[in-house]
Amino acid sequence: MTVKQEEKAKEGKYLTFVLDKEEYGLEILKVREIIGIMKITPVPQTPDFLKGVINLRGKVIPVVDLRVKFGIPELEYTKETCIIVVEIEKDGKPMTMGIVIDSVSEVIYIEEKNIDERPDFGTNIKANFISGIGKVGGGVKMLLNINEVLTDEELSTMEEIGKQN
Amino acid sequence: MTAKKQKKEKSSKKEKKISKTTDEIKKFIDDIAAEIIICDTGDLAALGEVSNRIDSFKEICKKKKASRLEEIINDCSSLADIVFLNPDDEESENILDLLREAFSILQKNIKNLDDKGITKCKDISSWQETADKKLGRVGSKDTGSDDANADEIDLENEDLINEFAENIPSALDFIEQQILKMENKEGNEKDEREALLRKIHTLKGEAGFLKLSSISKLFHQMEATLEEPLLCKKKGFTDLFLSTVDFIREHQQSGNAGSCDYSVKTQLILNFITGKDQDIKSESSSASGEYRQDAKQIDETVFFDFISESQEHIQTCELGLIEIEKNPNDMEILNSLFRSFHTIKGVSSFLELNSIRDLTHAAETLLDDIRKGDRQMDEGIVDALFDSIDILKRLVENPKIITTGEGGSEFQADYDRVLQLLNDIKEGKKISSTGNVGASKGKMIGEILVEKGAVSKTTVKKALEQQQEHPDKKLGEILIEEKDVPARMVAEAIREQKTSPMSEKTSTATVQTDFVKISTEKLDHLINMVGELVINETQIEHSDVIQRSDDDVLLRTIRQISKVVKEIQSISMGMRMIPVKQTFQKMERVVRDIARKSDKKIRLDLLGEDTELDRNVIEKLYDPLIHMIRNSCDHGVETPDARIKKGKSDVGNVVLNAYHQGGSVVIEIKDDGNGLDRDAILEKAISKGLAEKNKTYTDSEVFNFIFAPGFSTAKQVTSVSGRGVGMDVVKKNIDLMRGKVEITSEKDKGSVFYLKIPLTLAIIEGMVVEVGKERYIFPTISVKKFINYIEKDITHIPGQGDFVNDRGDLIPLYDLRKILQNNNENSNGATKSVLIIDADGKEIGFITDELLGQFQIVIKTLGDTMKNLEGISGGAILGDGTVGLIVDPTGMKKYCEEIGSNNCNKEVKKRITEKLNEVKNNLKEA
Repeated sequence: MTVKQEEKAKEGKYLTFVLDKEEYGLEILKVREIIGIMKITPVPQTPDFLKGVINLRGKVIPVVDLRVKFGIPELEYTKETCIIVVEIEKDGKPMTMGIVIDSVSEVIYIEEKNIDERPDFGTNIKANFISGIGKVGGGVKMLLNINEVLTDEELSTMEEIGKQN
Repeated sequence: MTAKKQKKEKSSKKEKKISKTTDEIKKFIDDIAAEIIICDTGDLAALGEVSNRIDSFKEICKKKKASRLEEIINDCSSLADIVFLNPDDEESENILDLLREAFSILQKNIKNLDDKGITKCKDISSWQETADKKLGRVGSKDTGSDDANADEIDLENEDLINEFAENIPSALDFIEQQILKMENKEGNEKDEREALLRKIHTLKGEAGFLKLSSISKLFHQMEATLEEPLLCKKKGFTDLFLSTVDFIREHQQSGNAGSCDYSVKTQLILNFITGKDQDIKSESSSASGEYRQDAKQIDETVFFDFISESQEHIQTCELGLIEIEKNPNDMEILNSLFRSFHTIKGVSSFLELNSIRDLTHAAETLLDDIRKGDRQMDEGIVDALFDSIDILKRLVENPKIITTGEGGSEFQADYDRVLQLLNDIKEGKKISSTGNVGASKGKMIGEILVEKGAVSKTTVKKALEQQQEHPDKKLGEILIEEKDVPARMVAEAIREQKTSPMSEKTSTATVQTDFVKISTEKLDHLINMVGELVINETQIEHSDVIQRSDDDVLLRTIRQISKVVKEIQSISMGMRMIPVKQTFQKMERVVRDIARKSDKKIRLDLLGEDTELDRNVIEKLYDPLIHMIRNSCDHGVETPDARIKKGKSDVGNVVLNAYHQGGSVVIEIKDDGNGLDRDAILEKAISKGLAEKNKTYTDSEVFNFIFAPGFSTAKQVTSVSGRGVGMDVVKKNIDLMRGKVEITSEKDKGSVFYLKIPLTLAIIEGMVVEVGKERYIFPTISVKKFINYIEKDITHIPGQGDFVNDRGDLIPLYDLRKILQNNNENSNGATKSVLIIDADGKEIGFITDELLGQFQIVIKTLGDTMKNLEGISGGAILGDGTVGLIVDPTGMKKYCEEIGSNNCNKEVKKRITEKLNEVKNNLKEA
C-alpha cells in the first residue's frame, strides 16, 4: 500500500454543508451538482456506507452516505437531505459519485490565511480526509478531501468483496 | 505601409541586369558592407535597400556558380529579411550585427576572390554556424512575433491574399501552357523558358510579400530549376512541373492555396535539381516517384482511408476468389478481382507502401493474364491469391508493419514466399506481349490517346513496334518524337492515366457520402438521452393531471408526443444496427480453408444475412462464430469416403442461419455430419470429474459439457481444432453478451448449435419483479416460467434448502429477499410467485413478491467500483426513473449455491465486516 502525499486545502471557493451539527467544506471544483434526496436502489454485497445507486439523467452512479461512512448514527432522510454529486479520481480515471449529507449551507470563499492544518491527534488516527480547517466568522469548517473520503483502498475492497463472493 | 512598398521594390530590382565581372562581386561586398554599417533596425528604407542588394548579389553568385559564396549570401539574405520583418524585435539588432560581421569577413577575404567566387575564406565557417543558429532560433521566434502582429497584418493583407489567390488559376494555366510548349519545342526555347521564369518569379515575389512562405519557397525552387536550361531538358521535368501545377491548383480550388504546406513539393523539386530523384525514377515515371516522396509525410487520414478501403477490397477479393473457384470462367468476377487488386496497388504505390504495391502488382499481373486468356484459372492460382490476400490482410491490420517495414522475420518469410509463389506461377508461362508492362498502370497511354481521337490505332501500333526496339523509351516519347501527336495530348493522357486509380477511389467515396461517421460515444449519449426522454414522457402521460384532464387538445398532443418519442427511440436504437452479412461472409473463407486442409468437401449456405444486430454484438460474435464453424467442419462433417459409406452425399453441408426469435436473434450453425457422441462426452466428463457416474443427465446437460475449458473428445488434435479451447471461448463470449448456447444433435444426422443473442448489448428484454421495496430484472431470455408460490408444493430439506415440485421436476428454490436484501422478515403473507430460470442448463427458482411485467430494459453499468458483483450484471432505469438491478442468472445461481439460501445473511455480513476490518487495520498500520 502506498502512502499518499497529503493534500493541503487550497484557498478558494467551498461548498459548505451540515452533517450531524458539524459544518464541512467541499472544494467547489469537485462538485458537479446538488440534487434533492431521491430513491436510492440498494446493491447487495456492498459495504453499508454505499447506500446504493441512483439514476442521474440516464447515468447510474453510486451513492455513499457520509453519516455511515463517518460512523455517525443514521437519520431518517428529510426534505433537507441532499445528494452532492462529486467527481473524484480513481486510478487516474474520473468517476462520478453521490454523497448523502444532512443539508447544504452555502458557498463561501476561504482565504489561505484562514486555512489551518488539521490538529494532530497522534499517529494512530488517520484523518487524511480532512485537508484543513477553515475559519469562517466565528466558526470552523472541516475541509474535506473527497478523494480521500472515498479512499481507493475501501473502494477497491468493494470490488474485492464482489469478486470473492 | 512602407514595408509593402519596400518589398515590391525589392522584387522588381532583382530583375536588373547583372554584370559578369568579378569586380562586380567586389563592388557588391564593399557597397553592402558600407551600407550595412550605417543602417539601424528602425530604418526600413535603408534596410530594404540592403536587403535588395543582398538579393541581387545572390543572383550574381548563382550565375557565376560561386556556390560557396552563394550559400553565405543566402544566409545573409534570410537574416536581412528577418530584420526587415521584425524591426522592433530586440533580436534584430543582434542579427544586424551578425550581418555586419559577415560582410567585414568577406571584405577581409576579398583578396581570395576569383572566378569561382571566394574559395578560401577565413573565419566564415564559424560565422555560418552562428548564422544557422540564429536562423533556427530566430525562425521560431519569428513566428511567435508574427502571431502577435498577426491580427494587424492579416487584416491588411486579407484583400491582397484574396487577390493573389484569384490570380493563381490564370497564372497556373499560363505556366502549364508554357511547360507544354517547352516540351513540344515550340518557338524559341530560351524565350519560352524566360517567359515562364518571369511569371514564376513574379508569383514568388507576391507570395513572399504576402508571407505565404511555403508556396513562395515552392516557386523559388521552380525558379531555380528554370534558371538551368539543362535541367529543363532533363527527363521528368515536364511531369514534375505539371504535377506541381496540379497540386497547387487542387489546393487553390479548396480555397487554401496560400496557406497550405507545399514543403513536400518543394523538396521534390530540390531533389530534382540535385539529381537525388534518379533512383526513384528508375522504377517508374517521375510522377509516382514524387507521390512516394509524399508518403514520407502521409497524411494520416489518407492512410487510414486507405486501410479501411483496402479491407473492403480484401473482402471483395476473398468472396470473388471463392466464387471464381466455382465458376472459373466468370469474367465479371475476374474483373472485379482485378479491379480490387488494382485499386489497392494504385493507392499503395501512391502512398509509397512498397510491400503492398509489389504484392498486389504480382497478383494483378497474374489476373491480367487470365483475363486475357493467356492462362487458365486453376487451384494453384486461387491458393496463391488467397495467400496473398492473407498477407495483405496482415499488412493492413498492422499498419505498423507497413509504415516501419518491420513485421518480424516470420512475416517477412511469409511475404517473400507468397511473392515468390506469385512470380513463379507467372514465370511458368512466358508472357509474350510487351504490352503487359503498360497494362499494369491501368489504361495504356496508347489506349487513352486513341480514345481521345488524337492518334489512330495504327500509329500506336507502329509506335509500339518501335518501342520494342528501344525498350527504355516510353510510348508517349516515341509518339512525340515522331510528331504523331502533340505533346500536350500525351501529357494529358499521362495525367489521365495516372489519376485513373485515384478516380476509382473517388467514385467509391461518392457512394459513401450517404453515410456520416459518428463516434460511438456520441451515439451512446444520444441513446441515453432518448432513454431519459422516454421515461419523462411516460411520467407525464401517466401523471394525475393528465389522467384527470378533459382537455382534448392537450390529450391529443400528449398522444402525438408519445408516438414521436417512441419513433425517435426506435430510430436511435436502429442506428447501431448492422446486418450480419459481412461476418457471415467471412466464414466462407474459414470453411474453405478447413475443407482444404482436411480433404473434405464442404458447402456453406448462408441464410438470413440481412438480420440486423448491434454493431458491438457483431464484433463480439466473430470469434465464437469462427470456433463454431471450425467445430462443425472439423468434428462434424466427415471425410467424403465416410460420408459415402453412410449413404450421404460426399459434400458436407454447413448452414449458417440468422433469424429473430422473441426479443433476440438466433444464429444457427447446422451441419449434417457425425452428430455429437453423447456417450463419449459423458465418459470424458466423468473422467474429468465434471459429471457423476451414476447420475442420469439430460441430453442438453451432457452437450453442455463440451463448453468446459479443455474439454475435447477428439482423439487427435488437428491443426484446426481438438484442443478443447474453442467451445470454451464460444461459451464465454456468448455469456458476456448475455446470450445463450443450445445444442441439439442426432447421431450421424448432424448437430445444430443455436446461439441466442440479444439484438443489442445496450437493451435487453427483461422481466421485472418486485422483492420488498426493490425491483429486479431478469433477462427474459433465461426465464423459463412463473409459478404461483403454493406452500404445500415447497419442501424444506433441513440444512440444505428449499425445493419446489413443479410437475415432477424438483427445482431448488432461493428467496431473493434474503439473498439480495439481507432481510429475514417474511413478506406479510402476500401472494408470492416463483420465477423459474434457466442457468447454465439447470433450472432454479427464485421466490419473488410480484411479477411486474416484461419490459425493454436499457442496460447501464454500475461503474468500476461495482463491476465484480456476483449475480448482478448492471443497472437499469425503470419507467419511474429509479434504478433497478439486473440479475445475471448464471452468476446468481453460483452465488446462491455458494452461500446457501438459509445462512446467507450472516455469511455475507461476516465476510464484508471481516474484509473491512482487515482494510482498516492495514490503513492503521500504514
